Amino acid sequence: MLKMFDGAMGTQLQALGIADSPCPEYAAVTSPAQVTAIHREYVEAGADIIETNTFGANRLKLKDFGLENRVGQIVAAAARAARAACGRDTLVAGSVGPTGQLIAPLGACSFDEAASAYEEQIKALAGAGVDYILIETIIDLQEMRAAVLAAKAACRLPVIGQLTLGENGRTVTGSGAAAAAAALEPLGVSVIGLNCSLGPEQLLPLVAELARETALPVSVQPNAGLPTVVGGKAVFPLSPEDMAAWVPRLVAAGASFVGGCCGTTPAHIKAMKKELEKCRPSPRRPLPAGVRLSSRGGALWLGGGHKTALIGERINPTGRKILADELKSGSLIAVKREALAQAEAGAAVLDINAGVPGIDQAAMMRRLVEELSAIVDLPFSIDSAQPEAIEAGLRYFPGRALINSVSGKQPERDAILSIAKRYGAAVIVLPLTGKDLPETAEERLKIVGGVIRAAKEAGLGNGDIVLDALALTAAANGSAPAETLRTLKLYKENFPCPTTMGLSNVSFGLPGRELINAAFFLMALANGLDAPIINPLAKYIKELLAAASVINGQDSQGIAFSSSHVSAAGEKAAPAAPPGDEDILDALLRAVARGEKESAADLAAKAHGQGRTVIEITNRALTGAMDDIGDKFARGKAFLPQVMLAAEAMQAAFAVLKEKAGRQGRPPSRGKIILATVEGDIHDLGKNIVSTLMQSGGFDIIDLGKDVPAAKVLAAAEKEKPDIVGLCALMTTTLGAMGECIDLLRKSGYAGGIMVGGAVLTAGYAESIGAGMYASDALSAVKQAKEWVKGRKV
Amino acid sequence: MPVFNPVLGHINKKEMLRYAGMRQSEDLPHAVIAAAAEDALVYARPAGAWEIYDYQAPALKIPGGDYLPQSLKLCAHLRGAVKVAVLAVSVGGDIETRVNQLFAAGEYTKALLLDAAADSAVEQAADSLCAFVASSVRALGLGAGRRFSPGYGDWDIKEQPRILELSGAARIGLGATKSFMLAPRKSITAALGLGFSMLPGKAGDACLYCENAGCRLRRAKNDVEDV
Repeated sequence: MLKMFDGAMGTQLQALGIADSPCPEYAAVTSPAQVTAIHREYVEAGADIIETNTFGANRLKLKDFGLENRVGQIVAAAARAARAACGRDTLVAGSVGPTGQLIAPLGACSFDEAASAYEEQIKALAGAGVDYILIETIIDLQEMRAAVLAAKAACRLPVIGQLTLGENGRTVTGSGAAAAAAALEPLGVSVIGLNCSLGPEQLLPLVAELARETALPVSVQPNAGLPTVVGGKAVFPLSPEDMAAWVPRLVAAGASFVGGCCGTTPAHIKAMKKELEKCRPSPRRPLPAGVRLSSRGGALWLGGGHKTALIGERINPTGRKILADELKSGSLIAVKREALAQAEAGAAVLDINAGVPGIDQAAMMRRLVEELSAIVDLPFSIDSAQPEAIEAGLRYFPGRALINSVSGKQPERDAILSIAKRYGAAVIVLPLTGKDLPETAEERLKIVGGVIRAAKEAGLGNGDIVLDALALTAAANGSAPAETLRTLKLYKENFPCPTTMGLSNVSFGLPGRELINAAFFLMALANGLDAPIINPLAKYIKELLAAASVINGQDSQGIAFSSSHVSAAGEKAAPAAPPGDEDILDALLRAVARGEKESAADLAAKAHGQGRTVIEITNRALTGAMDDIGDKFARGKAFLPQVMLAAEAMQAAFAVLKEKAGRQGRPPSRGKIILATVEGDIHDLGKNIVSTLMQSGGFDIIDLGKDVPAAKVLAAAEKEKPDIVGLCALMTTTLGAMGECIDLLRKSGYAGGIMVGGAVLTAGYAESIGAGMYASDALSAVKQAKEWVKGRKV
Repeated sequence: MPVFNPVLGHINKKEMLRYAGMRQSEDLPHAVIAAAAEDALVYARPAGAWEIYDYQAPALKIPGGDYLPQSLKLCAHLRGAVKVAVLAVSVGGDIETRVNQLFAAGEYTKALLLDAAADSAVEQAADSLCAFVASSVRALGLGAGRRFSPGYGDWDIKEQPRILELSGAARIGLGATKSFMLAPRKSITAALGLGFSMLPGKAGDACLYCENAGCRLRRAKNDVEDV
């Protein structure tokens, strides 16, 4: 069934001069007859569905005009104005546009604030008797989710969800057709579509892509082309005939609802309707089997012959004290590291568990999904035994998540299934009842059968269910692993659902756990495991999965395997160990120059153990290495990070020597240097680098820090009597403070050296403020300091 | 004043190494570079704020008093703009604290690379914010030019407080010191011209306006590229 929407409302209101008093939506209150007249023109042009003039009639948007308390009045007036224009078969869609704010963590508006504003608007639309809720021009999938959830809470009307994509096929917050379809279809929208921002030509391939990704009807409402400038104004260039010519192609690409957005008029709709009447709906291909999950940026299929997907299990504080303590303290640093590391190691889904006793798990789950989804673009598996924590995870996750898990245990089963339905989530079904552990595959089959029936009664389908085969400990029950493998097989024979399980339980209490887990992993894959819950960083797993994918045909002809092998072979081999007959100090020099901290410490200890003196070790190996790398730096053959690595290695070697010999035999200091970043300047990385390399060069350093007043520099100089005062400034605005500091030092009788440096400094400026030395970089600072103290001692 | 917190997704390692003063990565262990990039993602808290103002050269039309930037270069840069977006973007102070912690712990290379990764992160965040603002005006037929910051050319950083105010930077916790440095440091403010025929910017444009000829980070004209 093909349907024609209407065209633009805003431009029509503007043409009548009633768009800005104070906003387009208010025109329904102040000029209802004129709004009705616009609707009527569209009805007469052939629109099957007209849209209420309520695009921005949510309280967040109306607040800009002081109308936030008039949502009900505006919506009712707009619905009346639309109804008054309807023909016998005309339907009315209640238009719901964006709030104008991005939802946290991408913006300052909370998900709940947006959902509540939408619910108020949609309730008013439903109360005013519209036939559809049309959520349109949405640029962020999370905002669409908030609006759809609000619509489902407010009424039972069919919901049309239209996103706005760029030419790259994504919303500005990065969601494409697959992510949108995967997230919105299970939430219960009736139609998914696209509108605004592009013309029909640019939207055509995106409609085709959306039609491939969803089983639902597709709608499209293009602008009248991409805007061009005529007489200093933007105009939409496509004529009614131009737009009409695209209609058959849009329908062939999969659209069954067609309309117009910016720049379209009743004339456009009339011409487009004429073409639409000649079209037949395009046949649509069914979606593949399996369960689809999504993140903000992409979608992923589990089962149905798709690639094996690893579910990363490491964000789980159970039995991990450090992680639990950190979550308790409110810090997410370790959790973020785990998320990034698992993603890097090839996890396709991240399991998120906030199960720390004594904390508000729902609040923590919300924080975890909001913050982790901003740094890792993967679907999440919300892992909790608490329905309220599961709900928090699902609500605030910008995609379609998986629930880990639901079992046959009541009343939790029904509570979790109802949450899954409301949020469009998929569920892992665990073969447990809360009573005895089911030992045999047949018992497990029976239990999951019961849960599947309950899930279907709750409105879920095969595309929403993943079955857990329940891995138990081999050390406690010798036949458990074989029974789990048999369970996998039985599941596959009886249900069209993907399978999962937490693998590592199997090796609990045994030595060589990684090996046992790896063997079980391979055997489970062979028996039909689709989505192992596993540590993707564990030994063997990544490599075995790559190899197994060649064997089972998921990596056809081993193409991915071959290319990853080629790139691994291309990585540099580790440096060879020093030959046995090499002098230990030469080996130490090489280790320091390469920045090999552990080797340097080790070799320094060995050299001392062989009776080499601290002075000899320092001068020949450590300082020698720093001189070498300094020369290379000066010639552009080495770079600052390598110099710093060498400095670290040198200090590691020094620390060992200090420990072995105390101050005895320590080489004499080259001199004393005070360092400071001048007043008003809060940068200190450059100064810290100078400090490090000066220390590596044998100087004693007194670092006064950043934003240091001149008086403090002077006080330190009078107390410490340094050979050199080094001042640093990064900004033009703080160069004055540098000059003032030097003046103060000289006027107070300081006669030592003064060295300056910093990004905006030049040798000329340094000279003009009376600094005797100017260093353009840290190594040049060390070199000049050495020369200066040498000259002084001569 | 709207807020948009860009998602970084990754750290541009090529840029990160450039900020660290390296022309190539062959001589640093890959793991060291990867760890610094990961650290940056963990500690960065990207946040952006902006506001769009009508522009009638040479002034931004501000209710309650126009803003006339004291910069001929900016004026030339905004040629063709009918609106100007004033932006502020930051990756927050946590990443700086972490750099200092690493330095204090003797992890100099990690500190240096994390500082460089933070530079790359804030540039990436600023690019994302510009792209977002550009997409918001595209339906009006407007395109975005290149961002231009206080400190470029003859645009004095003393104008920073006004730019912060016009961008709504307080909403993302961004301010300036008495000497006009942004705090947190890893932050950017900029003006972005919006017009019917603006040419989009490219990474590295800033070097075209900078007069610090001796800068170790300076790109040659032909190095300005999409990164």
